[in-house]
Amino acid sequence: MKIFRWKAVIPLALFALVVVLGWTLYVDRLIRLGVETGGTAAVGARVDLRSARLRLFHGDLVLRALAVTNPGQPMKNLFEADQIVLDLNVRALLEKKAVADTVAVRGLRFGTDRKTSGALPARSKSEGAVTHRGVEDWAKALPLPSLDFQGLGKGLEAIRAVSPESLRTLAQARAVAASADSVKAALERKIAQADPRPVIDSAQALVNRLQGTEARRLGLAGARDAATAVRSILNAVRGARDRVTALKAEVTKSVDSVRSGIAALDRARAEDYAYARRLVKVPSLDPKDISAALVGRAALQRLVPGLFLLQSAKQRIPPGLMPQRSSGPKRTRMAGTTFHFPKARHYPSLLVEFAEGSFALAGRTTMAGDYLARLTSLTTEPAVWGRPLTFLAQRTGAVVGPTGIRVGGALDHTGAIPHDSIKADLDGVGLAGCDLGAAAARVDLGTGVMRLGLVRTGDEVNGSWMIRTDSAGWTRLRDTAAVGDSNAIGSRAWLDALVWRAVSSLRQVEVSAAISGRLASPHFDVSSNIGTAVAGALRQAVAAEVSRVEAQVRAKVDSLVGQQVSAARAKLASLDTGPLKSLTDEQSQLDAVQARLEQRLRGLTPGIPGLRP
Amino acid sequence: MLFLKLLQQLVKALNSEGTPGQVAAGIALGAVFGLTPLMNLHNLVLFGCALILNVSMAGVFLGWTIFIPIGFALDPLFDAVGSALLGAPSLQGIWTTLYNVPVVPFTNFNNTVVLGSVVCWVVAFLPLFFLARWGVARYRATLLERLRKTRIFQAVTASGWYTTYRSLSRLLP
Repeated sequence: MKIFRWKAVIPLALFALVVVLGWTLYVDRLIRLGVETGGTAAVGARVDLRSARLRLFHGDLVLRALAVTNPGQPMKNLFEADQIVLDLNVRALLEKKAVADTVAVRGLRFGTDRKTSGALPARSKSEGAVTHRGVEDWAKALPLPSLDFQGLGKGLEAIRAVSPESLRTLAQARAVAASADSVKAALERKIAQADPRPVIDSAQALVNRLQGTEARRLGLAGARDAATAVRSILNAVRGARDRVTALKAEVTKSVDSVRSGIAALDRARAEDYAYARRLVKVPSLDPKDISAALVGRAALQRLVPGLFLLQSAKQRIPPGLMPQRSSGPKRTRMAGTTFHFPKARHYPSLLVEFAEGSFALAGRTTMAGDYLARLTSLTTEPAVWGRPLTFLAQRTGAVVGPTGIRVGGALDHTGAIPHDSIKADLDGVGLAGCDLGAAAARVDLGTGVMRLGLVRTGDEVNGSWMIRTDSAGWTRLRDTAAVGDSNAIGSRAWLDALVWRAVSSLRQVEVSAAISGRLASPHFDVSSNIGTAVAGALRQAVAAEVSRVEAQVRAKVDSLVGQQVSAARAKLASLDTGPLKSLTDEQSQLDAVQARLEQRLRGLTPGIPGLRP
Repeated sequence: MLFLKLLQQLVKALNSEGTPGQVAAGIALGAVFGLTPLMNLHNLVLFGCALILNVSMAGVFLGWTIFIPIGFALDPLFDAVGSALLGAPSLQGIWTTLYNVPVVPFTNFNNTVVLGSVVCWVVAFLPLFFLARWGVARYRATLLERLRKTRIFQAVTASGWYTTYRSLSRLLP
């Protein structure tokens, strides 16, 4: 029987022809869909591409009319490009890797309007959308001080609302007292079991019996018997002493744990003061807290795009050369997991070695002018490529105003710990205005300076953002013209009027924000001359009232928790004077009796052959 | 629909003029298209092999049809096998080399379901071949003559599509 069916060569050739034909007809469409789907997943908003054309023999890929939606503003594009030509590495394509040696971008425009919204469905599960939501949720959840003085007007009435059960000190004091009780009961039981009194009494009796007895008068046999008796009781004393020492260490440890609980009561009380102060709505008059309350949320929002970029980079560009895993392709069958096995000095799965584009922003705005954008070493596996991603966009010529616009950064994921940085310096640009969250006013910042710097190393982030302008303009958001000093102190209208009086004459405005620490629980600081001005005005108006209410708040908290805290302290004192003191006394007695026994033993054995001391 | 297709393939394969060995080889080879995710390079190569090798094409299609539901049902097993193999520290060197060799990545061997299903098919190939050969031989020795006398069989073999199939099967026995 023949193994090969040679007449099947024709159907096979036809089959191959169909495959090649299918490839030719559909590859461009598949690439377009791939760019749109992958881009949408990465950005978290729609990415549109009019056409893609792969020319394998030329080794290039031409993308036309690429539009990437701004995830924060779905009716705007982050950027649009008329044409992108990628010079592809064909050998890398054979390894299923997309490597572009150079990329040329033509017709690049930023912030263009979209005809249709590029937002994804409300709860899209694309990785980019999830990341963007995560960063926004994180920014919203970051606690900032509030500016609410309504407690001043209500005085004692509001203070009465402080419930004892909501105070941490009370719960903590009860827990400490209960812990002290259980520790005391357990220790007393153990001390009773290890009672050294019988041993001490026996030892005392023996010492008394041998008092004044000389070895020579006892004779050799008598001296030996006496020495044996002393050694035996001495061993019992040493054993009892060891038990008491071990028990004392245990008691000290238990008492220390209760003591640390007592120390925590002071911290809990400080938190309760702050809680009660918030409850009666008496915020801090510190300019930093007031700045955070007024412009903190707006400042945080300015950091969100940079943090989103760093977070996306962390997820999409894993550091090191460890095998990576991703979900398999979507299909009717189970998707499974796809493993990636990067290898140093080979092509990474995706690489754009060098991309450059120049573009111009038309018009006569402060942003209009000629720009240059450059990107190097964009890859999904930087450890394989061995070089960090760098990007830079800067203005090379301005239509009006200064030319100082420069945004750049580096994402270094070549090592085990990623190190990313973004820096933006914008001089003489139009600054977006912001509402003062806690007061009915809006500031339009006109033109000015903006600086942004973000550095992330591993999970640690350090960032700063600053704006400065000399041409701020103020708008009142609520009509509070009729209200004046006659408003009740602490009321919303009173606060709006006070803030307005403090800030409406400010032409020079500076806001700076700094973020540091682990991203999960960062330290966030805001300072601004707006906060300083408002804090000054508030101090003049309400400093005495705030001090009085604060004193009342502290007194109220003290009255609610004082009894329990005293009880807890008394329990600790009873531990110090009870089990611990009794063990210390017993240890001293054992030491004393042991010393006397050893002295007696030395008195019985000197110079007598056959008797060891 | 799948049942009718299965019945059709069954009748075609079991009553073709191929030897039991050819039909069994076709079934064992066709199983790969049902067991593994279809759109992969290895399936393209194996389909070419099925065309060029002197195996029963009806057997290939029968194997394919039978193993589609089995493949779906066994996906969790394939995933587990693939995960174990791709995650095995001792095999990392092999996978890393293959991942960086031209053309091989197009087989999607680095996907757990693909690798697991291909390995399971390779392991099952010979048992499947011998089982199918025994089954086809037994069928032809015992059931075929009795079936030929039934009205349904005669109706099927007399139908237009069967005549067409016979004409085509002369091109690809």
